[in-house]
Amino acid sequence: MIRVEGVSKSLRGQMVLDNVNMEVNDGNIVVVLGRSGAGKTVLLKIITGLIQPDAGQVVYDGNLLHYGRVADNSSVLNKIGFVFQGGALFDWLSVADNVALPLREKTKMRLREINHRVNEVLKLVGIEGTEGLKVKELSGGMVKLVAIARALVREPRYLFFDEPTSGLDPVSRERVCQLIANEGRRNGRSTIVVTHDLETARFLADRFYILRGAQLAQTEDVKKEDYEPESA
Amino acid sequence: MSILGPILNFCLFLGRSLMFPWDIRRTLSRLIEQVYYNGVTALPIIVVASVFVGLTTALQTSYQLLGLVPKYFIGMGVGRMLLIELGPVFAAFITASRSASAMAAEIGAMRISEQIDALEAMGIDPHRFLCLPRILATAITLPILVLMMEILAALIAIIVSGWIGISRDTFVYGLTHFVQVRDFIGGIVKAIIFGLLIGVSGCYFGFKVKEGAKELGQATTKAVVLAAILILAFDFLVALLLFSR
Repeated sequence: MIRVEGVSKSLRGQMVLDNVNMEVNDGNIVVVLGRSGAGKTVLLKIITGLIQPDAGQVVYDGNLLHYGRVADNSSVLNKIGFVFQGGALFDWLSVADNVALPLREKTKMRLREINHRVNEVLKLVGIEGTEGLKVKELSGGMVKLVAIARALVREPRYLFFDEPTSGLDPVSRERVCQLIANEGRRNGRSTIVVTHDLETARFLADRFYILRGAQLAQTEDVKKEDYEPESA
Repeated sequence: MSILGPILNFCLFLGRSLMFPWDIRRTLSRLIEQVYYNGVTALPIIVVASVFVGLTTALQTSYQLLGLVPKYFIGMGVGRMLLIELGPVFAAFITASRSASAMAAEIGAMRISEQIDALEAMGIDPHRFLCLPRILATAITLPILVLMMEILAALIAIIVSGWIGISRDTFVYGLTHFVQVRDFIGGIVKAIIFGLLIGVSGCYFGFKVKEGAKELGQATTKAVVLAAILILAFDFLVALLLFSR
């Protein structure tokens, strides 16, 4: 379970998150909806320790997340899989090396075991056979899938997706959504997806939150007018 | 206080990047890549620069000293200047203009595209993963480039010695008999320190980039400027420690 308690954050003098509270239960996918620039990515980065909040805290299964230069969150970070909006893949590495990176750097697995696991996870996301390709040779959809493979390779306990379907064609979008729906709840995982895409949100969510005007509110169902005031 | 903050940040960054040098085993392939970029691909420009450094040093030294001191002093002057000062400083400036700017641009672009965030989210220390191989690579390659520049520039100076009114034998006598081991070691010590400073400057400003192409451009400029200033400052400090009587 992930608990976000009273998190606030200002950027350049503007309040982006104001006393935000949320909970993600085991085996659940929670979707945070908000228009572009609402602060969804900031929230996700605070939850994963990448940005320090001005106030509040984040607790993972009873373990408090620490912030700052010398903070050691390895016990939590080892259980996190994060898929960034643009993929954040390393362009000088091949697909296989990108996916293998967390295993090479953070585990004592042997090369053979690593290669086996990489093949396994590439098959899971449906891009087996692309091991040797460089990132620049991949389409936008494939970049997302490789990023998902990298996030899944260590069997994370918590999964985070930042705009996982933005910029994808309908076929790739459906593929990515299906993958998140399957993997996001597997083995009691807690998953947070932030998106501005209502269709993606409705497909994935066990629970919705709407981020608007720095406030986060839980809701049973959601309409576009709820978070896109200009479309109302 | 306003100047102390950035200095403290820079020192902390240096410490954090070099805290676990033995971890380079895990990033050996990136160290080799960086040594190749900073060393091998810099060779053509180092060769060209060495030719002009050798020519100018021989010409200027003879212009100032010919007729005032025994002729072999000119060979000695050229040799010691190359070893102590011109070789390390010129090679360092060339490396700073190529490598510090490249590092700042590369790491800054990685910051913008969230690759550094991705490393942190995976629990991988980006300082060890990205900075350590780059900083060590410049510290390893710069002494080699300096050595090459010194040898090439000295050879050029020997070749042109006849044109500046000194016999080749007299010039070589001065060049080889009055140069001390300490001069050579001092130059190499400088090169290692300059290499570290160039690497840290490039990585430091790359890490400071937050968003946008404009900031990225500014970071590359700042990295080269800081590297150049640090080279001159530490040139003085090392000279003070090793060569003052």
